[in-house]
Amino acid sequence: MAKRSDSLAKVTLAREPDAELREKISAFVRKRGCTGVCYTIDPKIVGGIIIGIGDTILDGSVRGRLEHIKQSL
Amino acid sequence: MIDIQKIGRGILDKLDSVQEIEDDRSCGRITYAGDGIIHISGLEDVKYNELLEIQGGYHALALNLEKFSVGAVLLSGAEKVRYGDLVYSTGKTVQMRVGEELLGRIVDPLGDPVDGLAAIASQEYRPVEFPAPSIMDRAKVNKPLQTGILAIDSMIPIGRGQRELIIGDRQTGKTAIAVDTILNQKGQDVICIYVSIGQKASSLAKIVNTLRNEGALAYTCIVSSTADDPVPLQYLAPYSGCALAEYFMYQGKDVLIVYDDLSKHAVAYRTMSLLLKRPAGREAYPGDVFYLHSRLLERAAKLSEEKGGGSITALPIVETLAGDISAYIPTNVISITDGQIYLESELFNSGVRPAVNVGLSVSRVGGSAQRAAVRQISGQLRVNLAQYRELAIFMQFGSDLDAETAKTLSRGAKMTDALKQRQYLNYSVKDMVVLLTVSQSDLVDKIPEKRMHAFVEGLPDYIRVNRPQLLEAIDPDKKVSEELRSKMLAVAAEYIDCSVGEDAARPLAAEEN
Repeated sequence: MAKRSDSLAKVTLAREPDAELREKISAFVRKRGCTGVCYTIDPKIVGGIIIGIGDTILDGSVRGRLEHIKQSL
Repeated sequence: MIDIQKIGRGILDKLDSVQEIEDDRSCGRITYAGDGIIHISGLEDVKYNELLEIQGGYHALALNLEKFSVGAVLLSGAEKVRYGDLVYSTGKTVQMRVGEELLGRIVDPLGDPVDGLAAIASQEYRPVEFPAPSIMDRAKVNKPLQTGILAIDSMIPIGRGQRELIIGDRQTGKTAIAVDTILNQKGQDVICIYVSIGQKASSLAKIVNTLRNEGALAYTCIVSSTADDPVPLQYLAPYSGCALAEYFMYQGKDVLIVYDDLSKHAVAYRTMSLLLKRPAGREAYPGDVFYLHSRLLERAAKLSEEKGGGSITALPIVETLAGDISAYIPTNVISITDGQIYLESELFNSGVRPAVNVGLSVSRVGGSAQRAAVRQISGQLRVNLAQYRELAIFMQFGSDLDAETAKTLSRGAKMTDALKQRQYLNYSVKDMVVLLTVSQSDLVDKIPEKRMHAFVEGLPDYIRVNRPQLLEAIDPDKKVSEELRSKMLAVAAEYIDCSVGEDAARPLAAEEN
């Protein structure tokens, strides 16, 4: 797994995160070896969160789920 | 009335059955797409031969793992993927759908039906690449696989678990032999798999029709990749077919698999390799083209009793150019297989069909699996035919022959005639015992040369109708006794008499075509 100590985690959200959420996210990515977080706001993902660390993508967005359901049915 | 609640419930049920996605997936982006090849940046933890999923539901196969990129071939969506699309790893290798339901169906190399019939319910899968049975798991080939073709079953016998190459120029009846063999497995408890690799769709349709009309589709599965399918699918087809064959073999069943043909498979692999920029070797084939076929054919085996005793008999087909069996792919496959059936266009055009060149064809293991009776009477056949051919070539220059030579020549010609066989006309083992006995006896001197072929074709039917007790007396697993031999000859003499009688009544010309 890509765990680069010097890398930034790319986090995509539907809305601007509040301070509490920011805190949670940075704690999460730091545990995985990232030094900082780079936020992108994209209303198209509807809700949820996408976290990219190195090559690994954690897709917890509503759009991702919907697309998966669409493909499975 | 439409029950909305019911529909709603149906949708909810379906949603429940959707598997949660693993949201922790490694991913990369396409940096190059062209000729069915993609290069991907990222995707660091991908494994060799791993199935990749591309945004939009397409698939690719990872084949080149480099420092900064991954080279993959597209299994689908070659025209649809774009630069920058996301590619996910799946952690799986390519899988082939397997199961009893595939019999009677035409499927693509991933196990999805292409015959326009219902979806295949089976949810069982096997990896397309699978290690061959180990030395300890194997047993000796001891059961014959009857092709129903006299020339092959007598002189080039094939055993269950053997790999016998069918090689020859185009239009020499290679596929015909394979199809005849499949047809002859009716009621023999052998499952057949026909793998078409880059064949014309029209030829494949013809084979499917033949199998259907003869009732052979019930125990046959066709793994199809036609000439217009993406190259990676053509490359996968034989491995997929083999995965299906293994599914049955490990259940203890006997399987016959036909790879039609491996020269096109090598060409498909060469295409992929060149596009992936792998170094080219002889005839521009990549360095591992030998391994390509050896790992495929090693998976054909006869399993030991502890492993269930199943078997895979492989009949790979290779097409040569102008009879050149010393080209790269033919020599490779000849050295991997346990023998070859060599077909010649010269023989084919002179009317010897099947056009088997007996001198160049061999079977390295089938002899021990041959039925006792057939082995006994065909022992001398190959030598006799070789002598005849030598003499025939020599005598082309001489004019006056002594009586002995003339007799040898005429007998040799009749023997060659006896081995001619129409397509779809398969002989049973008992028929073969009779035909081989009779055609090597003194009786043939009584038959006019032009009538020999008709005699051989008619004799089995004559016996079945008029002398069924003779067939009952034959036990293919025992040697033919002198008494049985004379009985057979007596019946044959009877048939000669009445067919010569027919000759007098009917003009000869009407019988010949």
